[in-house]
Amino acid sequence: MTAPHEQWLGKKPRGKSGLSAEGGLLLVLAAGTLALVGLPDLRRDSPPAGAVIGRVLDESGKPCPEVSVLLYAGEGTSPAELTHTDAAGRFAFQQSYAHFHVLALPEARTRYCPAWAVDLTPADAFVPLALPAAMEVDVSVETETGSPIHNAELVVLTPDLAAPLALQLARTDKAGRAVLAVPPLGSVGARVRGFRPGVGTPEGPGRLRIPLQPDR
Amino acid sequence: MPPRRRKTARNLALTALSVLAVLALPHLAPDAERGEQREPPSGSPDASRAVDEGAEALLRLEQSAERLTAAYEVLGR
Repeated sequence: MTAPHEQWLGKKPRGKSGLSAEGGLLLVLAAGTLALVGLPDLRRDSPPAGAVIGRVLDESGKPCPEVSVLLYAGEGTSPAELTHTDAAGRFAFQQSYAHFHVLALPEARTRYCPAWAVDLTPADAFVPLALPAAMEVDVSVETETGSPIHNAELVVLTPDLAAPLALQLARTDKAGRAVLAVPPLGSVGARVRGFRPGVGTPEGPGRLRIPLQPDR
Repeated sequence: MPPRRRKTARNLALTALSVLAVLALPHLAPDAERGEQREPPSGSPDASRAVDEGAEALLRLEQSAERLTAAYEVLGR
């Protein structure tokens, strides 16, 4: 019988077939080794699989890892699926829906704001999301006379005020203040019982005052 | 070497390679095959519908706020 190394050197086997039992065993061992050693590396670099896949990048196109990504089905307000982005910012959901929405929610203390992709259909099998950079804005909610309003509901709004989406929710403290992460051109809405709702748009990082008028 | 052993060895090797190919190929597919990047939809108000846009915007905001609240709860924030 021809030894395996002789076969690799081009020597013909003595049997009828080109593959001996030892050769077959060698191939199985090689394949097994590749499966154990090589595949984890391949998996690490390959995109996750699922019915809905996507990627979360920042505004400069840099991948955002470890971002929580949630899928909401139809008119539901509880997430149907939750996943996290991998090192390349990629994510996957196992199931698609006739009508769904996706929210990318970065860690609380981050320089990015959340991002929405709404009113998606099964045709949206790939969902790209860009996290807007966050400006730190110190919001104060006051009466017309400048008295702080405690426990006012605050919501950070996307720039498109014709169809705004919520990016952050908070409440004012006893001094009527809260520090929020606002995207460029984003706004902050404030409401509390006894007052008309108000909206303010910060021009940049820093302070934003939102005066509320009494609801007469 | 008996033909039966040869056949078994060949089948084993071919099976192992087939399993490897099935496992590895989907993970080697480039991102481009999975779809081009595009801008996320920013809303789709159909102008032909006789709807109150203000009410629709408010509903959308309320829904997104409720979904955000649920996300905070799920993530323990």
